[in-house]
Amino acid sequence: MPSDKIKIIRQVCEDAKQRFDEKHQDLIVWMKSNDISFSDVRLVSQQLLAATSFAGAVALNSPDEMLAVPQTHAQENNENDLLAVVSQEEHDEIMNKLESIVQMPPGHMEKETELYLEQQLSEILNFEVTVELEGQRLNHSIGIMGGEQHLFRFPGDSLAQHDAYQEAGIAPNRGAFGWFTEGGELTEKAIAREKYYFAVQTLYLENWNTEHQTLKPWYKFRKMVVINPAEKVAVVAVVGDAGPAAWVQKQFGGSPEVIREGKIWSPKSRGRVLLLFVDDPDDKIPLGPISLEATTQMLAEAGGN
Amino acid sequence: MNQEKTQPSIVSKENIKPFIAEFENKEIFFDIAEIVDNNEYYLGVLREMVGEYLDKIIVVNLKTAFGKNRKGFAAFMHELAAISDGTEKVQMINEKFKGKSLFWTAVELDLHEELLDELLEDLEKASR
Repeated sequence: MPSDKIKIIRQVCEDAKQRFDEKHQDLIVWMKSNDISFSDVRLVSQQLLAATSFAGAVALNSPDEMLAVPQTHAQENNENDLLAVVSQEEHDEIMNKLESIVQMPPGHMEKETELYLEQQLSEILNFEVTVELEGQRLNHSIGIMGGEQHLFRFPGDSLAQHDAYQEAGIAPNRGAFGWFTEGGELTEKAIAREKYYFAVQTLYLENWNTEHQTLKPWYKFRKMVVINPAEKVAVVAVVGDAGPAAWVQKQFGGSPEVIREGKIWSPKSRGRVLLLFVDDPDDKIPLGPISLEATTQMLAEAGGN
Repeated sequence: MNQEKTQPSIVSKENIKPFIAEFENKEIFFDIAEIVDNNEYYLGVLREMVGEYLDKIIVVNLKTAFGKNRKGFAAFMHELAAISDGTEKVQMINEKFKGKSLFWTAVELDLHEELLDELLEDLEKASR
């Protein structure tokens, strides 16, 4: 039934194109505005396909080669399994790379590595992360994160009113960025922000003294993510305090929730982490821990489908 | 953040060898060709339609490889468009990403997942 087959070919290809157009609408618009066409790579596609049996001459002149190719679903499945393993391997490699990076002295990565890992982590986490956001960059993206205490969320707050990790205690003063309340109310968001906060060394930024009037509101409750590659855990939290002091020999601080749930001081981690900004202008990324291991598995499974 | 996002060689060696005008797992092409009885007309249609889709997948993967560097991506696409020879175009992509990425593997994986696997499955069903 040759005509059926040509119908199927056309239908499957058209469906795939339609799905593509729906999925990549933003790219299509952007390409049009930049005078770029998909056909710009047409010759690349033809070059790649030249080695396949779809190149008529190859198909017609090499029937023996084609017949020698096994045609079983089992083999197809094995290929997919292999692709899943490759995907898992790739993510393991990224984690290994991150583990070695956090062992480096506090500071920043080489630019090339930084750009690469920003991209890879953004893909793994499924949201944009970056060392530098809107021209702002901390003095360190690699460093050691110390444990902080709870912070007062509103005037009259007390340790007893915090629902977890009370053994961490509460700082004697409010955080450097003020109360956590919104319009005087202790909202769910305010509670979450105190649970998941970072202390960062804004006070040591070169331009802090001259520009703190603009820098302070920019950093206040700015969303960041700590990456703990040794335990394959990340935690999204907000900038809620300034510190630690340089003499402490740590570059970042984390709330009791961040430290415990991010396993920041596990025997494997020993505080060594990566801290990046989260590019979340619409405030859609929830605060809290994320298992990088689970994400890796999900991606591996996706690769096998 | 205008710098290009290059991809250092942190993936396994097996995955980074550059493409030489062919896919790693090309059996599926032969399987599909066999189902359509190696009919030259069908192969021509297949080549045209798969080629068109491959164009799209290559562009998407180039976009991914350039990350946030949209200016770099646009400049590269214009450079690519200016070349009139297919081999040179492939070489240009290879030079950009050679030994540094899963670029071609990603392209192939997308082609399988988004088109070829379904194509083979539907054609097999029709042949039973």
